[in-house]
Amino acid sequence: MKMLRSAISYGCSTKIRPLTIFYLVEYGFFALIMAIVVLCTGNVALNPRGVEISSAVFISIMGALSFKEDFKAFLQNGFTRGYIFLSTFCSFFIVSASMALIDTLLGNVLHHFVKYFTFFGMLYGYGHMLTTWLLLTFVYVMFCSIFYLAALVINKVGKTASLLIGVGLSGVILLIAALFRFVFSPELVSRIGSFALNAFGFMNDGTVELVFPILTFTVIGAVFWLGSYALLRHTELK
Amino acid sequence: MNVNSNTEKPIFIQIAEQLEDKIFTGVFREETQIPSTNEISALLSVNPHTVLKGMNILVDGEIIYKKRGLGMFVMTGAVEKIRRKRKSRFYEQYIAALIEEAAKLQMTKEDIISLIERGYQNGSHSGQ
Amino acid sequence: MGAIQVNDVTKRYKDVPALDHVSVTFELGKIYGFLGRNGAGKSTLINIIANRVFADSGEVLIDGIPASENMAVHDKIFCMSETDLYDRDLKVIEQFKWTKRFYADFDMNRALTLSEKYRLDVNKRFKALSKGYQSIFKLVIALSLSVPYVIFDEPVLGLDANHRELFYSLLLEAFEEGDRTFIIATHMIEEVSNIIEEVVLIDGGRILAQESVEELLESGYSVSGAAEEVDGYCAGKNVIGYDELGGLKIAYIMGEKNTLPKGSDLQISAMDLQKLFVKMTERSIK
Repeated sequence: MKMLRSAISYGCSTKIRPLTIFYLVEYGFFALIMAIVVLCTGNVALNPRGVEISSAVFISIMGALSFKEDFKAFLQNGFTRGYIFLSTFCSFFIVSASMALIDTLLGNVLHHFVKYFTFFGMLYGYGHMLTTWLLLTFVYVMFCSIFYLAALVINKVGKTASLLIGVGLSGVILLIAALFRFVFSPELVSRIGSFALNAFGFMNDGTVELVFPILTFTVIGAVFWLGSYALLRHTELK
Repeated sequence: MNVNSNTEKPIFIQIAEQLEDKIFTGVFREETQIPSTNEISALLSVNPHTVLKGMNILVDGEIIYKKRGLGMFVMTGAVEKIRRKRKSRFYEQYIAALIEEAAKLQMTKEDIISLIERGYQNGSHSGQ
Repeated sequence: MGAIQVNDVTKRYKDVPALDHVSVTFELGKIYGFLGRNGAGKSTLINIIANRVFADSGEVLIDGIPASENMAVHDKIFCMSETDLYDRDLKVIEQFKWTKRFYADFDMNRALTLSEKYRLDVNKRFKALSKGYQSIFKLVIALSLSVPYVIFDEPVLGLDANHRELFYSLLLEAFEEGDRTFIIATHMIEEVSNIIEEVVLIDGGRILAQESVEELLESGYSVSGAAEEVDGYCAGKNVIGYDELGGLKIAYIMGEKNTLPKGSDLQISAMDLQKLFVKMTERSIK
């Protein structure tokens, strides 16, 4: 347990520096743009929106990089892949939760003072701070799981094969789009549509249920994390 | 002290011989302590087990002995023992080799004897 | 008796066999030289022992405990690797602190003393260190850990003569602390030949020899002289290589030494470890 705790703090600590820089730059930009907007138009409400999308992008990048950097360092220090996986997962959960907390708090404060809207605020509204925070945490955890898995896959199959997989995936997406357009009956399409809306918390009666998107993101995240574990267990040093 | 890994002589024998020589020439006096295995190992960058093997030759030859908890000490009478040993080896080590080389050079017994005499006349070794 | 036991390990990369049914034992309390040419399978075996790659078949036991994916061997073995696995953005001192958290057996004071001896700037980031100092950094960590089994993969890469000497004496110092095993994989055979007690020689993915240095040196020798005479002497012997210089022929032989017949012009001389290594591995390529 002590070893796992050490490994988790290592996993977190390597992310503190990039995180700090990221937030400084992100909100620095935000302030800069706001200043320009206010100077030019005098209207505080015209600020940029959905800044936490960049947090999602950033944690995705960290997810991808973490495999490259931390995996090697952990192997050097005699950790098994089981421990490496657990500590990676835990440290990403902690980092995601912290980022979500910052984004939720700042989002609410800014919303209050300068009429700023977070992406999720626009979708789900404001009010349930705790659930918004949870939701955002799971969104971030899901994003880094996707890119962590992607990094593992690229490492496993090599550049060319990963490019082929990428091409294949976009093909599948086109195929699905075509299915919706030409094959499925309108009835089926609308049923899938409402199921998807439900999954993201938009109920048929027009209310919003935050439990469902949390569940959805958790399930998607879990699938990717399990996939990552299955791959990591057999990953060798190159 | 130094060891040379480019000769036929195994390192542990080289170490034994050099320690013996240091005892014989009085660098390490009788009933005084000689350096430890670890010290020699570090000095020569030689595996301590090799050094120990070299020391054990001297222990077997009753040149040095182990004082429990203190280390290796030179035995009383060690110098005399070494002298006797070296004298007995003098023939095979020097004379036999001398004659073999002389034969290759087609030198006669008289040639060698006269050379030896010359050596005593010129050299600083003509103590006797 | 503790040991690292490699039992019948095989590893292939794509279709290239890297290790072919390798079995070898590294006993506790000895310094081993793990020698082999580039691509002989050295790094692969080290990586399998250190749980960095997986064997296709066979297993590695450390003090009887399976070493693959097993935290139970964490405090028994450390591998200083040739490739840099450390986070390049961390400062040396930070790396020390993390190592201390990961290994109870890490001696921080020793690490700092050694850094001073080597004049390693502990406030520099890993990536800011020169190649030689990156090696030194890794050595300092390995030498400050008192786990029983330590593997050094090309430890003196990029080090100048003084730093190499310092490493060898520090290594011997650490060895004297008690029951420990050091495995040194290196190309600097001559430099380690007096330090190592046993040699494990790997070539083409197979173990060519596992012997004490003395035995190995005793069994190898060279005979030189006129070609015909040399050939005559070599009849029925295990010749591992020849060199020829005009009429002079040198044969390198493993095995019993016959005393030369009287009046023979042949000359028998010893081979050093490096020569022996070169000749033994040359042969297996042919």
